[in-house]
Amino acid sequence: MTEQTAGSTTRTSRLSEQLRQQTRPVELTVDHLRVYYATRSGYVRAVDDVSFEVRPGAYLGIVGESGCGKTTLVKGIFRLLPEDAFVDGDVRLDGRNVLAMKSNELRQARWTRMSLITQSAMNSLDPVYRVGDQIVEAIRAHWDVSYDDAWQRAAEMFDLVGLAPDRLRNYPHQFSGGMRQRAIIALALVLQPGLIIADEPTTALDVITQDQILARIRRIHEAASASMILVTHDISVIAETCNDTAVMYAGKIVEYGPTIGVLQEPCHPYTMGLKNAFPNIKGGIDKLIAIPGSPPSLIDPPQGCLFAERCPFASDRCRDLKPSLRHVGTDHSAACHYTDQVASLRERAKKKSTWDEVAVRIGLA
Amino acid sequence: MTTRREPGNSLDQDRAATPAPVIEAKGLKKHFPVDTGVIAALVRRGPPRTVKAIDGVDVSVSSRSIFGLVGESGCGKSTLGMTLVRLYEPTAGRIFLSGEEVTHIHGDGLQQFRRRAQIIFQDPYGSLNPRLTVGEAVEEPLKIHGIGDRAERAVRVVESLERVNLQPRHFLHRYPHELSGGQRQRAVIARTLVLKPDFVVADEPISMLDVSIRAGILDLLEMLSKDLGLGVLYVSHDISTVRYVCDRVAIMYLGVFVEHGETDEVIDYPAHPYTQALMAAVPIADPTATRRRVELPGEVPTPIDIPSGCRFRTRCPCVMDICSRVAPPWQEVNPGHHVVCHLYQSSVTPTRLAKEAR
Repeated sequence: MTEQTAGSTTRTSRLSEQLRQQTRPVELTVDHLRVYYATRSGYVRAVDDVSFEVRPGAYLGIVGESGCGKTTLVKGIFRLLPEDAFVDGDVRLDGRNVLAMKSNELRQARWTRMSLITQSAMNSLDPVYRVGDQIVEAIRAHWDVSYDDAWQRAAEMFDLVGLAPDRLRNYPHQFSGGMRQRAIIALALVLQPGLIIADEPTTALDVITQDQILARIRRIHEAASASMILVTHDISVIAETCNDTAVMYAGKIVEYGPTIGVLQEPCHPYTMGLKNAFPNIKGGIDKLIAIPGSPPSLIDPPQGCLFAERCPFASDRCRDLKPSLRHVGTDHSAACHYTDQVASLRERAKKKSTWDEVAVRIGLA
Repeated sequence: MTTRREPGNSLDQDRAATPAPVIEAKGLKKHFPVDTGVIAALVRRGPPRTVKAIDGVDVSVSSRSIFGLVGESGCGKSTLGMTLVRLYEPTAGRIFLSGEEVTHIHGDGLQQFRRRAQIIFQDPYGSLNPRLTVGEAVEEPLKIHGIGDRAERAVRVVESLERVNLQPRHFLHRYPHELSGGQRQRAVIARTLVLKPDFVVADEPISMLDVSIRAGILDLLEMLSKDLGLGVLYVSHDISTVRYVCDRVAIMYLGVFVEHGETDEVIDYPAHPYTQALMAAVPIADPTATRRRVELPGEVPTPIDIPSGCRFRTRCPCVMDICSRVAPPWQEVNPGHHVVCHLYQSSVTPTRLAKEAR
C-alpha cells in the first residue's frame, strides 16, 4: 500500500515536472487577417484586415458588440471556421503560420500550444461521457501517458479550478452552469498551453459565479504565465482583468492600447460612446447614454469610416475615406481621422445632446 | 430599530410616504410540484415534493415608480413577475391591483385584468410574431380587447409607436426580421403601451440587447413610469443597471426578499451579507478602481430543500448559531431600508457594519 502510494506520488510529480517544462508563454501575431463568409447576397466581411500582437505572458481583452466579428476572429486564429469561409492573412504562433499548418501539426498545436475556453459550456461537453473521461481523452490524445496518470492529472486540474476531484466521475448534466464552465477551464488548461483564448467565458453565468471564474482565470494566468486573450462584450470585465484592450467594431479593430489608456482616455468616438452606455455600479447617478442607430451591414459596408453613420463628429472626409489605425500615444492607436482633436471630442462625447443630434440626423428621433 | 415578526409589516410603514400602490402582493407563494408522474406517485414516500419558487413575498409597486427586483438565476424573480400579472396562479397569498383583489379572478375578470397589467419579456425576437408587421402586432391587443373601431385603433397604434421613438411612417409596415434588437424591443413596448396599462413587468428587458443601445430602452422604461404614470416592476440579474432607473429595489434569494429599500441606500449601504456579496462581485468599468472581493462558498441550494432558519446560512460568511434554528425577522436598519438578518438584532450599528464589510 505504502509502496503504491509512493509510486503514484513519484508518477504525479514526474508528470507535473514534465508539464512545467512544456509550459512557456506563446507569442501570437495576427497580421492583416480577413475572414469573409460567402452568402447569396455577397461576402460578409466578418473580420476585415485585423492585425495585433500578443506578447508572451500578455493579457489582451477584445471588446465589441454582438456581430462585430469577435468570435469569428477567435475561430480564425484556431482555424475552426467552416470550409467555405474565405480566410486571408497570417496568424503566427511563435513564428509558425497557423493558417498554413498541416492538419497533423495543427492538431498538435491545438490544446498543447493554444487552447480555447468557449462561451457555452453546456455545448462543449459531451453529455454521454463522464467529465473525467473527456479530460483524460484530451490528455491521451496528445501525450503518451497511462489512463491512471491522465486521470490523476485531471484531478489536479479540477483542484486548481475549485472543483472536488471526485466530481470527475459525474456527467455534465450533474454540474451547474458555473461548474461546467470550470470543467471547461480545467480542460483548456490541462495540457498547459502557452496561449489561452477565452471567448465570453462568463456571459451565461451569474455575477457571483462570474466573479469567481474570472478570479480563477486571473490567478492561473499569473501562476502559469501563459499568454491570454479574453473576448467579451463587457467593458467592466476587461477593465478589471486585461493589460491591453482592443475595441472591435464592424469587423475591424478601431482602438488598441493599454487598458487604462483606452478606457480612461478613449481616442475613438465609438469607445467614448461605449463608455457612456455602460453602467458603473460605483458611478454617480449620471444617466447612461445610448449610441443611436446600429452597426452597418457587413455585406456592403460603407466606403468611409464604418462608424461614421452613428458618430456625432463625422464629416464628409469620414464618409469618403476609411481611417487606418494610427498612433495616439505609446502603444495606443485609434482608427479615426480626428485623433488630433481628441481632447475636445472627449468633452463633447460626454454630453447627451451630442448623441441626440446623431439620432435626429439618422432619423430616429 | 424595531423588531418585526411579520414580513408584511415592513412595507406598511412606507405606504404613507409613497403614492398608493398600483400592485400589491401579500404573503405570495408559488410552488411547483415535481415528480408528478404515475410511477413517481407510486414509489414516493411522504407528500409530493415542490419547488418553492416564491415562498412568501410581500411586494408593493406604486404608480409613477420603478421597482427593481434583483437576484441570481433561479431565485424566483421571473416567477414573481409572472405571478403578479397572473400568468401563474399563486399557491398562497393575495394580489391586489389598485386595491382590488385579483388573486383568483378568471374569465372576463382576468381579461380585464390583462388589459391593465402587462409584461415585457427578455427576448424581443421570440415575443413578436414573425408574420405580423409592427403595426399589426401593436394593433392586435386592441382587437383582442375589442377596443375602438378601425380608425380609432390606427390612431392609438401610431401614438404608441411615436411614444417609443419608432417613426410610424418607417416602421408600421415592417416585419420583425427587418428590425434590430433594440427596435424590436421598442415594438414590444409599444404593443404593451397601446392598452394603456397601469402596471408593467419588465423581465430582463435589456439583457439580450447590445450595450450601446441598452440605455435607450432604460430611458423608455423611465418614460413609462414618469410620463405615463405606470408602476413598473423591473426584473434584472444586473444590479448595476438598477441604479439608473429604479426608485426602490428588492434583493431576492431562494424565493424570498432578503433586503429592500431606496435604490441608492441599498446599493451604497448593503446590509444583508448576500447583497454585500452580490455587490462585491460586480466588476467595475474603471481600470483604476480596486474592489474588495467576497468569496461565497458553494452554490445556491435547491428550492426543493430549503435550508432551515435563514435561507442564506449555507453560504453566508457571517453565519452564527442562531441562523440554522430561527428564521430572521424583518428589521429596519435605516428609515425605509429593511433586511432579514440576525446580524442586525444586536447593538451593532448596521450602517457602519455594512460599510466595513465592503
